[in-house]
Amino acid sequence: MTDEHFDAGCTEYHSLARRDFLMSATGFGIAAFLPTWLPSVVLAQSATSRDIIISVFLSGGVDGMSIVAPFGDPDYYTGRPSLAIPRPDAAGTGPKLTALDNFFGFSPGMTPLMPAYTAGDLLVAHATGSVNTSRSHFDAQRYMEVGKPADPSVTSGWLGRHLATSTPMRSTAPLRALGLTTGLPRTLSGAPKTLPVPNPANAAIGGSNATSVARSAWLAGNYAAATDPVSANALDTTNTLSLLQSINFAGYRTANGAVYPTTSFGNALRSAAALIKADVGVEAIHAFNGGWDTHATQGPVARGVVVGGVTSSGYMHDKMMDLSGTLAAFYADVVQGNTPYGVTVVVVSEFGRNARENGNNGTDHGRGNVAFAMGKKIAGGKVITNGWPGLARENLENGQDLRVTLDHRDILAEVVQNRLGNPNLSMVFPGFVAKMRGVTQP
Amino acid sequence: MPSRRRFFALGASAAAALATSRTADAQTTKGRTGPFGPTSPAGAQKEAAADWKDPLLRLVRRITMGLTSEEVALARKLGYAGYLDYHLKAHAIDDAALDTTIATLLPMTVLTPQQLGAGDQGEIANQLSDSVLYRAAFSKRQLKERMVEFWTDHFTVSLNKVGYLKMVDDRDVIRANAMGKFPALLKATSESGAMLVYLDQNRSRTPTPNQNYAREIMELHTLGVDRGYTQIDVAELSRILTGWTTTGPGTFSFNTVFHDRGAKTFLGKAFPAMANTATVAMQKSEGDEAIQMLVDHPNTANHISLKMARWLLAYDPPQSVVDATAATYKATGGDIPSMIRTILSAKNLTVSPAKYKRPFHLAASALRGLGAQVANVRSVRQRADQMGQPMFYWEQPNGYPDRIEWWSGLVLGRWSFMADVANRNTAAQTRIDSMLFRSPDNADGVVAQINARVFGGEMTTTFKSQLLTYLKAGTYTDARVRETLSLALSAKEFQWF
Repeated sequence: MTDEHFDAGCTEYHSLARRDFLMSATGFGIAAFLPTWLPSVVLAQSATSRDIIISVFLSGGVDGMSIVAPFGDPDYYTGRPSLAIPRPDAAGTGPKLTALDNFFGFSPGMTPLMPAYTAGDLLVAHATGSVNTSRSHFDAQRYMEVGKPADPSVTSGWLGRHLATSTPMRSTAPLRALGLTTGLPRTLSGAPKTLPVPNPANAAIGGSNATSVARSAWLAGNYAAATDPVSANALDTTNTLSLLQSINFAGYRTANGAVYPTTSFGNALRSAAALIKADVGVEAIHAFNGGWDTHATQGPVARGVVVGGVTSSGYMHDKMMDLSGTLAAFYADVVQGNTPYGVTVVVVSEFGRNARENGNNGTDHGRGNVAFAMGKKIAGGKVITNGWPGLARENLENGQDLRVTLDHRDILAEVVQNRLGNPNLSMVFPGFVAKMRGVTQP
Repeated sequence: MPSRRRFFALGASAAAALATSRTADAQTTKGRTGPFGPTSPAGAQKEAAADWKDPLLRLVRRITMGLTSEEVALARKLGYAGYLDYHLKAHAIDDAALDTTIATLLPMTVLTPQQLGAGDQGEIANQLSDSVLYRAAFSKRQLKERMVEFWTDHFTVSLNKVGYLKMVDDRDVIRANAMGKFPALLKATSESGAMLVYLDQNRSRTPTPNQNYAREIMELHTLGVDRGYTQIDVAELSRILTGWTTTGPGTFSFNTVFHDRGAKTFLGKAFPAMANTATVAMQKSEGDEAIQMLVDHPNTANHISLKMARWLLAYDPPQSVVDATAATYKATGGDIPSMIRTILSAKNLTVSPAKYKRPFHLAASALRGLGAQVANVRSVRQRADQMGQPMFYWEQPNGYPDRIEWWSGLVLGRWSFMADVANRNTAAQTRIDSMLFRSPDNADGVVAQINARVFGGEMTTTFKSQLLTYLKAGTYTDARVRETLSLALSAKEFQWF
């Protein structure tokens, strides 16, 4: 901190400073800690037009071609005899896709999202993902969460850096962002006033109610004197406790008759909705929805239903119903409901899966995938690609996988700039020049 | 310029997320200026271990699940080298009493795979989870328990996916080899029904093999991600391993019908095609040979050494320690105790920054520090699980993170657990005998006992006075004493080891 006024004449100066900033963005008191010499940062300002963001990560590598199937590509059917779902116009009463346009269709498990799609509030992107070719869950997820492929020196997350380069939407908020997680998601790493809160509805220090305030005060004192990196979290926690306890999660009533699935993901987004409506200054929420690593008996349609001569396990269908049912409830409850702020939802996954199924009615790790953005100011009701690369073997990456033709950061960057009101895209997505793809509405 | 870089690299704030560059992912050690690791350029951060003066106590913290009076006394008797040696020879420590207790309290832990397959699956999962916390807290083989936790993550298997097979894996694979040789451990996992089912190897068959296990055995178990193998190697290894499957209650078997006898090339080595008359042993030997290649690969020595040094020494261990440990791996055929000895020299340990206890470790250390009497561990274990680390429920094959940024935001669950556990006083379940601490039975006596029993006598004056202030702010009652115990264990001073 003491050398902020270092010689600014150094030629490498700006780039070095900026690169280092990315390694670990500043924490609390952004105004105090963000170096004034950092040239290109103009903090995003509070504005009524700024959206709250919900970031959802589908971990395990979701099979995007099961979620949004490219029925217009004949190789989809030849490569996936036991997984491909018949065209929307297929004869018979069996399961079939629901057309999104004349090429792509939702699986039966995704149809709860049709109202959001037809209303023009849900955007689907396909053949998208990271330019990083790793098929390792952990590498792929890591680089997607940090927002810069294959650069191990960047350890903070893209959403964390967005928050670090934005003024708080409410200056007094004790909690600007949270992960509905049991640990801090890397996506949020580097964000000021940000904690993992696995269950916001149950935030209290156990023990006697009579002494809980005194014990909380004691802990604040104990950690205030501390100097290790846990301390700020502890202090934020004691402040956040009183905030969360003031919200009646159990009595939360949804708008528009929305019903969240009683799954962990459904409960998480229900809590997110309650937090948003409580208007306490939370501006970013991250949630994981895992279990998509479907190497075997994938189950693309409801259990017991036959596709391609194989009786479905229903596994992925149930996962899709959880995902789409939860997002549909959130759409009705929050996007269409009355909220103090606009809300944008983004959904990504670390990679897609092989174009062709394996021998176990499942799919192994692949590349190109789907992503979603949802909100009142999202230019939805369409499936965007940057050219469908095709599923013929010669068009596949390594002969196996749907190519990535649309960097998923284009979608996120446009949301950050236009919906979150943050112009500092070079900080949020370092070394990347985003192309605006018409994801957002003016 | 370097100091500004450090400003960003190490984080100007105290926000935990900002500790990232001190964590597992840090690629360099720049900024390491003091004996206890990085010093914040902001000048605000004091390393958590700064008040730990006694190298011997540092060792006890590192190789146990938490200080107890008995463990500290043992260490004092044996000295640094003797005490480390005692725990490295885990098999020589008589733990029969604990084994008997667990076999009595949790009888499903000693059932055969056949019996387990026919048992109540929910109860099996509970007894497995109960047994690991009980062992962690009360086994005399404390370093072994630390390593069991490490290998459980390294060779993660999700209980949700494999059910009772994890009971077998925990007992016959992980624990049986945790303090042995790495190659034996790796080979045992490669023939463990739990692992083969978890990573879909049991159903992989030619001509469309399942790549899940073939990838993870290289990426996670041996070489490290993208270290010396390609996508082609993943595909080729998956072909080599076709036929490795299970039969009956998770028993390993090699199925020739599943096996691809065609020619393959793995890591540059040719595996010629086999005739259909090739024996079962010949067909399986391809996989054995491939796994041996992984065992012998220098990247495996480096990867395992880095992870062990991170686990035992520091989030960001010095490269010299990693190199020395890899050399020990090569010299000893992957002997785990020898590698630990290299890592945990007094010279290395005294300059290593503290690490943050993960929830499982924290729960065990609380039970130890409080001298808990546990007749039935279930309810306290279920309460501990709420802190965020229910053992065997991490779904992904990389195991619970050994990164402070993942854990350090979760303070609330930790405080709530301590409030819960310090108030437990049920003989049939978990009992904390507060009279251990009320001796002499006044505020000063309680703080002195906490200092001796929980902190090895290394509490600072400030910390002692904080606890005294709380104790004296209300009437001196048993409830007040227990609250003080919960605060002592919730305090920042108890969160590190």
